Amino acid sequence: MAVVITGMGCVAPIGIGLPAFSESLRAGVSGTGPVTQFDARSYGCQVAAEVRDFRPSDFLALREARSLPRVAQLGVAAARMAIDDARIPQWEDPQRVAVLLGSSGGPASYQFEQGLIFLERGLRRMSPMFPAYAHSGCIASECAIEFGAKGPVLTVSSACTSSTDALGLARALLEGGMVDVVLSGGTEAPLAPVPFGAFDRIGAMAQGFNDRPEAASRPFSADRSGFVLAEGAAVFVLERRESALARGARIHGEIAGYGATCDADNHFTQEESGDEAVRASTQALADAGVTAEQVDYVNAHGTATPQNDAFETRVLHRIFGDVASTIPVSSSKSLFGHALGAGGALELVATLIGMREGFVPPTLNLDQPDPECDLDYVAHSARPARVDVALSTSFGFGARNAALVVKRDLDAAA
Amino acid sequence: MPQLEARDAVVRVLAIELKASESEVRAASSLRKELGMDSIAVANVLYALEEEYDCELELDGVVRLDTVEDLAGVLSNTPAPVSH
Repeated sequence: MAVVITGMGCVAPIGIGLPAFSESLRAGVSGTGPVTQFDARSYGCQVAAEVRDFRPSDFLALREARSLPRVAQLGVAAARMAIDDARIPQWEDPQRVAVLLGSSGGPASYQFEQGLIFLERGLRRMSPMFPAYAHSGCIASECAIEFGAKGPVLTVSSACTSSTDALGLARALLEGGMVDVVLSGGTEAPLAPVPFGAFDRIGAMAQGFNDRPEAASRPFSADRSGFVLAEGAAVFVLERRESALARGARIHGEIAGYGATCDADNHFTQEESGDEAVRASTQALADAGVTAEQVDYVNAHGTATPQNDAFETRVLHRIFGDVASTIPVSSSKSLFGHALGAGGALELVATLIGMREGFVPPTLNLDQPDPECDLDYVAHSARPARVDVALSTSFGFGARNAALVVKRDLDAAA
Repeated sequence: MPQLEARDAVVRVLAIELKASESEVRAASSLRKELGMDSIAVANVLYALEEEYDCELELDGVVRLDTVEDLAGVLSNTPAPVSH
């Protein structure tokens, strides 16, 4: 039984909505700029990939536009665009519609913001909605309320694999027959002093590019110095293929395989051997029934930290063996930064747009190849290519590994 | 603040909270019985008014609040903040 994507929506630093996102992706436009959402002058890294020009009232009633945490607003906005894109004016059975959204920090920035109000101005000036909005589950439940989804409504929180995991689990729910439609993907809004500062403090973010932000995210480059923190959301409408075809839906692609593992030995990074990271991808490939030779493109986790990119290159060599150097690999984080738990979902949008429009998204800023990173990273510009099968990988704190395999739907009418 | 101005402000904020049009919110409407507001909805409206007018409403009277006009009266009687 195949599970397919029939709707996509995104709110990203390189564009709000598919047309804008797609144009920037193809042109290789960087979404990184100076931090404007708070005063970042005291930090080593002062750049971020922000979603500019996001007006909550374009997507939400005034009450929610004023009060809902940004992370949930971005999620609702992406979900609204995905439902529009899927051309579903009304659910056939709302009780069989689920929401599974991934988010690493959830409303952490909102908690910080409200905590500061509590300290500075007292309990009275905190939002009365705090108890409803301050838990991670709110991200999924706000979508459920907004769109009337009455099935399972869950926020999946597994650090930077969150939305990859959410999508894999959404597919399992559909395969199991528990629901008919799932709104799945991820959202993240970590651009606030505490989450941003915490990453800066451990030296995980790009240093030395405050005067040229667009050059800061440089995956696989020898002079990479860390990731660019991002916000954003991407949500998909998932259905079983036969019901999608029955209603004449356009199919963006099939979620053909999912793998997830954990090293279970570290708070932060993957263990050196990469055994579990390899296993997540080989699991996903086996689940999809495809061989290494059949993979046309890899959308890498590619954070641009010194550790990740060299590690990931070794992992890809182990997964693909002799054909590793023949498969184009790129990091979309070079365009829209690292949106933590939403990263996997945003990268899936990039992968599916490339698949649809016949190109492989680029890796920007790859000026000085790192000898330890010796694959074909599609440097600087998008490359025309036919992609039928793609692997998208995510790694997360807690030494989590997750991977999705997506396939072009060859038989459906485009 | 004059009572009429306060009433307009309260009606506007209530309409946002209730996702209703301002014409559905009348001065004599009972917040709980007619407009169906619970304690959270009332707290949201008080919060929105305090944020917008940078004031602290006299909450001792809130338990006796019944109508839109009552709430407008509380806002009307609240002194403007002392500017620093």
